[in-house]
Amino acid sequence: MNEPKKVIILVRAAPYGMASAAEGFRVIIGLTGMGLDTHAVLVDDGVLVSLKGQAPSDLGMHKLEDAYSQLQDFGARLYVHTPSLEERGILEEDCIGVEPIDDDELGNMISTADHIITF
Amino acid sequence: MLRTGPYTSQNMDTCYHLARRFLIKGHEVKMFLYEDGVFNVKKEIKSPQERNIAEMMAELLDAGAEIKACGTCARFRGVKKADILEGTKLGGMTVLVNYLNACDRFLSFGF
Amino acid sequence: MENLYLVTRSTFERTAWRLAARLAKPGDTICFIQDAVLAVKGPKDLQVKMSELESNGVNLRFLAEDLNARSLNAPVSKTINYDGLTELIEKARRIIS
Repeated sequence: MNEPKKVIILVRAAPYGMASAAEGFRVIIGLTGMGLDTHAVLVDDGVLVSLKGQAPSDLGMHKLEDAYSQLQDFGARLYVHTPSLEERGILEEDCIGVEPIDDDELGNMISTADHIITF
Repeated sequence: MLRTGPYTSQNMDTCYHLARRFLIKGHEVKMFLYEDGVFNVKKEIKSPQERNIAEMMAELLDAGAEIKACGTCARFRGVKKADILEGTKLGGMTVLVNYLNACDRFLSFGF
Repeated sequence: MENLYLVTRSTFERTAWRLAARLAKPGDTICFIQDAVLAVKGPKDLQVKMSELESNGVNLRFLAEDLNARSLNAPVSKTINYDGLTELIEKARRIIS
């Protein structure tokens, strides 16, 4: 049997203003559940997805902090791009448990991927 | 994978121009329409004196493209099976996974 | 070519091009299409970055049809049409768009 395809999902959009981060989550879960080697990277405004303390219930929306927190339980890897965190003045300790990744590491990860999907 | 709707961004047009050329060159083309992308296959699209995106999609289908739209996205937007072009289908995440497993090149067009 | 970065959004929207600019490696190509062809006009920090990238062996390309539509021009050597973009996609190992 062939190795599962390695797919990187770049989540570049902040939560709630656009559906992108929520739709990205659906794809991450779907791909992981169907056996693809799925790596999700929060980058640019997407790093806001990892910030703890989100309270979107007044917006009638699901809390993406909780959704993304569960990813590792489903077998997906979740990373946060540290330069994007720094640019936005967000500390890693204020984020859910994610693996930090810098430019070089992200570049290397992309170089080993079969496909990249951007949200 | 196309995530934006018709007449809102240029994404659909970019996909069309690329898909047409790939089909002429003998490649297989498969499109997964996600989020507002599902609107691109609404057969009732009317566009007086403008390019008609439903007709452009139909042209790609005739040329051999496979086009499937996310069923959940369609449901959230009130798009029913009867609303979409003949030759296109609604499907789940399995469709995307199958495309990712089968394809040599994957392009995603969103925001 | 290993990686083809396709940038679609205006380069005056700051993050649209920066990820490609910071990740592209020698031999990679960044192709500006749709509103991203505005890259020929800036912003200034992008112009500086683009020169740096080219010195490092990253290829920059602009889609002719999208330039023409917007009354913009790029150097002929860096301008490709849809047929050229199709070839770039064929040659790339992966596409980041």
